[in-house]
Amino acid sequence: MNSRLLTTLVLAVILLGCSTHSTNHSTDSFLIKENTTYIVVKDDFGYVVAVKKYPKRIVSLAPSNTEILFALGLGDRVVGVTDYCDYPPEVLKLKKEGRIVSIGGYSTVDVERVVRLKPDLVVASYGNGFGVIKALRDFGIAVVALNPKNVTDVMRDVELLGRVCGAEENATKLVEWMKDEIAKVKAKKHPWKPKVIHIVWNDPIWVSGRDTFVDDVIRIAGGVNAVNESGWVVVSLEDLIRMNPDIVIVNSGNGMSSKGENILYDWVMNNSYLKRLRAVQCKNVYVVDADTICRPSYRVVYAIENLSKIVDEAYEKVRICYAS
Amino acid sequence: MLRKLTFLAFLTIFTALIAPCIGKVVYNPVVAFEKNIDGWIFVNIRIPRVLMGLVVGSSLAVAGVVMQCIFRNPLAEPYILGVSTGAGLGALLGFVLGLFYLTPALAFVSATLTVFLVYNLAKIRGFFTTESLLLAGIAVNFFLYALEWLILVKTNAHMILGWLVGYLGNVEWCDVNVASLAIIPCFCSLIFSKHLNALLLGEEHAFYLGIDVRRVLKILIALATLATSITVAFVGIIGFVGLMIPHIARGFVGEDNRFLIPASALIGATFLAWADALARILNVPVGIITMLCGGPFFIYVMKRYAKRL
Repeated sequence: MNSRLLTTLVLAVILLGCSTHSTNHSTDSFLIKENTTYIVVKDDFGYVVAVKKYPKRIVSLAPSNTEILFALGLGDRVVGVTDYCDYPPEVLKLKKEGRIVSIGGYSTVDVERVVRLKPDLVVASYGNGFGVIKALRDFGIAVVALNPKNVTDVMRDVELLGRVCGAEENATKLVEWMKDEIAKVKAKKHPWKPKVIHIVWNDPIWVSGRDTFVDDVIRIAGGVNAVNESGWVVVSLEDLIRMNPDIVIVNSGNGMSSKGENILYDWVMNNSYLKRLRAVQCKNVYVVDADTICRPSYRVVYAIENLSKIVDEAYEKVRICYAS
Repeated sequence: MLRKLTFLAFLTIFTALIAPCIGKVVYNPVVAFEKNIDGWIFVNIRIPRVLMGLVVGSSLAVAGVVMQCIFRNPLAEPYILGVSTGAGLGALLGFVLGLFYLTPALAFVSATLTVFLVYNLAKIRGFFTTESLLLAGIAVNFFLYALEWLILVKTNAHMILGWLVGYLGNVEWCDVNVASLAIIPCFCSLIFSKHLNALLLGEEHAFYLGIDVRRVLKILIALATLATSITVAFVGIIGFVGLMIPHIARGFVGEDNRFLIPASALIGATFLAWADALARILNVPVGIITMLCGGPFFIYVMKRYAKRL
């Protein structure tokens, strides 16, 4: 009966913070027009937004957006964030001091609280839902909605936010840093190209397929996604065994948040069937920081660097594993 | 009649042989003798999964027959009456407390309490009406759902979402070995099939036929609840099998419980094995498929009996 509705809701929450891939947006330049008082840009959904120069009261509707805004040095202009925004740690402090207000969840934004903050810019995200974004626009608020689907998109969004908020210099620096770090990772020669699988959930088994954010991370880090289907997909135990990945990565925490014990890891290591996997036999199951790999912010660079290290470490383990 | 049952038995055996080959990847049965990963998958994942489907399908169908007789109601079924949800609550507590071997027992205790509750809520001046039974079932169902979701949200048990809608994907051989015990209460119900026939005429009639009605009712409820709880503890809450199958079986063999129970068991087993084969292809929990079939069927049965009244 209503368990189905709740199941859907919970599955939606599982994917919280992970960007999705179902809309198209052009990769061409976002800037439409600029004069001394206004800047007009096209956001990730192709919506043309006019923002008054420069916004002084910014509300972020996603943890990734908050991370980018603070990295651009715009932290002092942020007046509202979501319950899930916890990085940089400064955000938590400012929330406690009451200088930043929490405006509800990620997929459960409290529009009323956003409007009451009188923002001159809201940085929204795909997961907020079009209803929320439309409601805010109907109030006459400038909403820039982001939907980065890969690492390149993140860099473009950093530049977009920098431009809109008058922090171009910081944005350019941040993007340059990202590009440098990624180039370093890409330049690294790996002895193999392992099949990697990212398990998001265990019952039913959800994994990150092609065209997801994690897929891009795997590719840049020198691996190849073991899943051939597009988007987040449910696979069965036998599919998983047939794919037989070389490396399994699971999110830290309990799947809902990065807190608590690593239950996905425990599941992979203790499931009697998964002992058949090459990755489990050679102990190539790794816990990755859920926040860096799932949030489309500049911190994805850390996830890429980490995974790149894992690729090398796993190779050593495989050699020892097969030698014995 | 025997010929019909033999036909159904052959159908079930045919299903047991063919169903393991079907899935997203179709296997030739000889793969079972190969010493590669496909052979391993066939023997250790496909076969137990199909066997579990057969066991669960037949136990739920028999539980449905028994409940429809006891409550003298064509819409009575473990899922609708809240018995499955009750068992689910107990099993969930078992998971959360880490009592893996006691999970079926806890499911049984909690399901029994649920039946007791629904039975007493639904009885108005000694009689069940269709409305009172369904409303009591729905009220108890919703309340138990709320409790289950409270546990799910507050603990790590939210990791078993698939289980909550009925999922055969995680079945292992050891599960099948234990869950097969659910067949025992089904056979016991068969022994009571004459009593069930008498009960169908009404408790008063059964009493005049020399049946200790209260005692027999208690035993039968316990049997149906036991069969349901064992399956729920292993594969979760699979709805509507107990509603659909007895009606289909009646079309084959009529109302006599001596034939209806084995026919339901065989059709239930066949149905769930095929439903799960479809679930394997689509990669969804099998519960979703039984619900999709069961919802419209429920309305069909309701309309048909409404015309008769």
